[in-house]
Amino acid sequence: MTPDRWARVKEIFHSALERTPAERAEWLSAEAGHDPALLAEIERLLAAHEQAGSFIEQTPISGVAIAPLRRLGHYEIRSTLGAGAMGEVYRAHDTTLNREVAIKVLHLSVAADPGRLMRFGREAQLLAALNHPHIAAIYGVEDAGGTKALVLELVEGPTLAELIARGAIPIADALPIARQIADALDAAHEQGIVHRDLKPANIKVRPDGTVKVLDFGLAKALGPTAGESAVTLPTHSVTQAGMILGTAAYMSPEQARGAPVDRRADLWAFGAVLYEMLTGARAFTGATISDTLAAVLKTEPEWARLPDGTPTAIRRLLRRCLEKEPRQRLASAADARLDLQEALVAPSREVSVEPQRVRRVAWLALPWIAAAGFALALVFAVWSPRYGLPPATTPLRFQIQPPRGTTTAGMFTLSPNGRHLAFTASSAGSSRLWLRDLDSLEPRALPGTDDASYPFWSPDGGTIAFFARGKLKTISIDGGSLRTLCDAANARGGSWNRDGVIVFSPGPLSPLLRVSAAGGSTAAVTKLAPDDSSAGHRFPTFLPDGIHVLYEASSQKPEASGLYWTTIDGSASGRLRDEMTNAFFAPATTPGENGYLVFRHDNSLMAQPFDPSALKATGEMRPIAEGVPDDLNRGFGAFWASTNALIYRTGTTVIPNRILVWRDRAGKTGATVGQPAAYGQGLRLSPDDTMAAVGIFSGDPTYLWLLDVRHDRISRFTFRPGRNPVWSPDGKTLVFARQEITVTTTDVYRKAVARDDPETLVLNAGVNGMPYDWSPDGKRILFQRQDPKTGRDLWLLPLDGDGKAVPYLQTPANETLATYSPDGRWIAYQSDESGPAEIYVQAVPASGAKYQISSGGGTQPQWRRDGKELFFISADGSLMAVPISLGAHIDVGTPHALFSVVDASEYAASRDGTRFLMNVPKSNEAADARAVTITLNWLAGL
Amino acid sequence: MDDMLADAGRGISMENPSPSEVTELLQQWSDGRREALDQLLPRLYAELRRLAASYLRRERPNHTLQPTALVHEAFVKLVDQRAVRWQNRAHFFGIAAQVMRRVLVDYARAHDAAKRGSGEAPLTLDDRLVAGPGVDIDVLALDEALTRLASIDAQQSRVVELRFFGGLTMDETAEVLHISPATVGREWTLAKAWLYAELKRL
Repeated sequence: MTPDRWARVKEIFHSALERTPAERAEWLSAEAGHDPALLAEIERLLAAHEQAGSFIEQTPISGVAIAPLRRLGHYEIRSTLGAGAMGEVYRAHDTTLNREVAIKVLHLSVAADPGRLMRFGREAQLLAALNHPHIAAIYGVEDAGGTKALVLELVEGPTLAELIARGAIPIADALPIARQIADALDAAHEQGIVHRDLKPANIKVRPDGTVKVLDFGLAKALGPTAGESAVTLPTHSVTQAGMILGTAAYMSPEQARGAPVDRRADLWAFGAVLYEMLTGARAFTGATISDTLAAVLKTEPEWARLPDGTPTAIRRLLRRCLEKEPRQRLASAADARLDLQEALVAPSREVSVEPQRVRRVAWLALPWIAAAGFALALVFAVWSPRYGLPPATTPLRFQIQPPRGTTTAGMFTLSPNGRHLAFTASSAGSSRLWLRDLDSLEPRALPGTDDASYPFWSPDGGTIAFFARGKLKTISIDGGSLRTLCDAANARGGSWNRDGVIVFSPGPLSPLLRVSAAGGSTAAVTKLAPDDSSAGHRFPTFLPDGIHVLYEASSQKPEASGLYWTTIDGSASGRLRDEMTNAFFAPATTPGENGYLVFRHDNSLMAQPFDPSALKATGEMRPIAEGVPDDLNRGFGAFWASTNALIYRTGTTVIPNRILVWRDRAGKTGATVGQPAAYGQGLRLSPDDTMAAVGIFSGDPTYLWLLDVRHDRISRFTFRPGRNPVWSPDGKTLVFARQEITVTTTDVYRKAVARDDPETLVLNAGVNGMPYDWSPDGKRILFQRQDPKTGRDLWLLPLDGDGKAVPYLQTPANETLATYSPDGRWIAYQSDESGPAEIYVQAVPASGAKYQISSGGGTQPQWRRDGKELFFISADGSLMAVPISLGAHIDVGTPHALFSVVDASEYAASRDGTRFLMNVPKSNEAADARAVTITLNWLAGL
Repeated sequence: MDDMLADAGRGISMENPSPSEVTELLQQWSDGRREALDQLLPRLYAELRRLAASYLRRERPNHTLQPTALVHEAFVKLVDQRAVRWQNRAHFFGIAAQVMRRVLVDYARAHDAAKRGSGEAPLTLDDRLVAGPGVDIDVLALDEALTRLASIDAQQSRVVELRFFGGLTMDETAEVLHISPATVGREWTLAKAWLYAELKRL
């Protein structure tokens, strides 16, 4: 509306209101009768005015943000601790684990943004891996009804900021604090994690003198992204907006300039904190953020403020930390620690300290040393029977990282004597078997184990069995001698009993097989139901008798899937749980007691008392770890358990485990587009091939995103759930499906690709509704609707006219996955009218006469944009191309296979049909390097 | 140090924002740095919750909270009133209304997301705090419509923002916008009709 016209609307509207309703009509027609559109607009507004009543008269503010939070998941909120940049922090009680925790509730602007949430999830996983006595732990991420929160270790005691507020800290007290901070930084930096926001407010000093550094890496995990809706590739620059004074004062010059940040920024902040401890004053100050940053960039700290007794080593350390040029700065936190150590052990020469202080230094330092010693003693108690110490009676938990430069997929197993951890870890797409003696720091890769998966030990602990390159193999851990036992094309785990029999699953759709550990022929252990093509048995583990085997049965039939047991000869079997999970049995330490079954339930790891002779649970299950994922979405939980130890990896189930890649007609893989993400439920290229509309699973709903294919930029398209996008012929609009979780039907919405256009409802497509295509003339939407009698049918919705949808193909068979030919005269679709799903082409409107394109099965038809070729996927997983000539009749050529797409879930053909954008899994390993948690003697903690 | 160490049991004390920090963030935001709001909102939420909780303790159970008073009290606490640029009370109310609009829109989005997720409400709402009947408005749709209205008539859009999201009276709105109360009334009437027509698809 032009300003002039709006001024006119205003004028007439207000004048009309001054008249009585009786006068109004006549006056209006005189005033605006010459302009029907104007008149209609005025009448619309007057009608609205009559009806509006109390509309927007009452502000909705109350009841929104102001209710106190009482509970979050299984956490009871006890009190407010404060508000940081990312959200509010509460003290809470964990009712499951019965402990006090700190909970940081993420601000809604983060929680409502899938991009930021995804990034947050990834970072939180990395950060949760940080396990160090001077770093406050991240226990996990809580998601309760839309409220996202970080669960953190609750650290008692004042912050260093509060301590400094009371005045400078005496050297003898400051140095042990600084040493512990340096220790924390060193450990984190070793794992590649930079704090980015180290400051006194983020450092707590517990009553016993132990220092805990808080909020490691959270600045990156939760910070704002560069753009509002566009997620660019991660940058390390810190945006100056939104910064607060308390942060600016500790910001390194390179951060202040917005340059990339590495661990040297933490060393700068460390210097600033140490200076402030010793002097009671900030090293760099200013009245505003800008002034403070200017001081950081230009001024030197007032070195004269350092107390007289400051040791030379410390003065040198401060200068080296607060060196403005990062390359000149102190290289590592380990160096800082050494300097502090030196100053601490030789205080008498340089520091004049009153005797009383010295005693307190000793006292302060003592608990830390004692704690370290205690932990070591426990390790030896458990791991070194040769010392003859009694076994430990408390659980001992620690984390180990995958070897540097590798990621681990959660396949790990501890040797029967509890001394060696075998696990798979991969780098550069190639996975290997690694062995780590728990009393050494360095894991070693076992040669000849390339592409290893699902390792398990021989009962004597001398040999590891694993699967690689389609074979079951063994390797001895002393000499490394390697043997191949038998075929296992796409193995899903195995187990080795004391009689030298190995039970294994050769593939996801196979029964369990057994083979002698000495090699030889295989025999079936279990049988698959003959009428269930989706059935498979996998992840077997022996019970202690070496006769019974636990395994996971997978099937699309819920009544057939779950956790089962079988005897080794297959003579008897039974179901233990109806959820699909792998399981381990951990015998009790005390003879006569039964032990525990360990398995996944929802996303938690559970332990349940279990009698292995009766094959029955004897008590209630209880959670022993939260957030243990189904690794690689294969139904294989990332855990392992025995009497000795419980091993698991935590993380979210939404793993950015798929990528979009281009492939040419020969199947040669080209460039990757965008970043790894949980792509699915929609992949469509825009008519000009510049954009792809993609669905990305982000927790419960899938949202639609737009990927700029040429510039590799992604932006969110729907802020509410969306899937199955369809481009308009002009590429300016998308229609897509939206199913609210509470309803069973699907709505189809349309929304312009240009920003800020509201979504409009196009139709309710009913149960299982799905938009498939937009007619080339732009006048119709082709969609699927499900009918109780006729199954899936194809419908057309005219976009002009009365908006009533009409059926295109409604037969007792299921017609689905349809697409218009580029000339708009034909529709290719999938139908199961002859049994297996095949591709057909039929005219518009449907004549009954149809051309069968595929034989032996076909799905996902797509036209080349010139209409001269039709692509589909054959039953054996090949992308097929069929030459076609369109016209009043069509000529169909012979389909020929282009390349195998068994790994792809979706594809989109380019305009000219020379390349295909494919949704494929990211190479085997999961996304991030993730630490593995090991709890020794875990049964004692139950 | 003994005293310091005796100071146990205070829990994690995160940075509680100082008035000058919040003021600076507001200034950054009004200077067009939208990211500053991300830092600002959590602090505002926290303060609102703290205030609401303390009112609930003090007041009779059936006492109705005055939400706008609460918001303004939060701002008074959070914002450094001495700062030069905040001496203008009207300017301050104007910012408050914009912030509350963001608060409500974020809330509605998260609430939407949660409804589809678990069926639970995303935030624990205390019944005593929920406003009475009459507030049955799709905040997201209203926000979108208001953005469209701003492109047609910026002043009308501001009037609605101040009155609906900021809870200001006609007179306060007039003060903020430097227009007469009568003009506010006229703008409000038309804006209300226009928005109603848009939302109800008249």
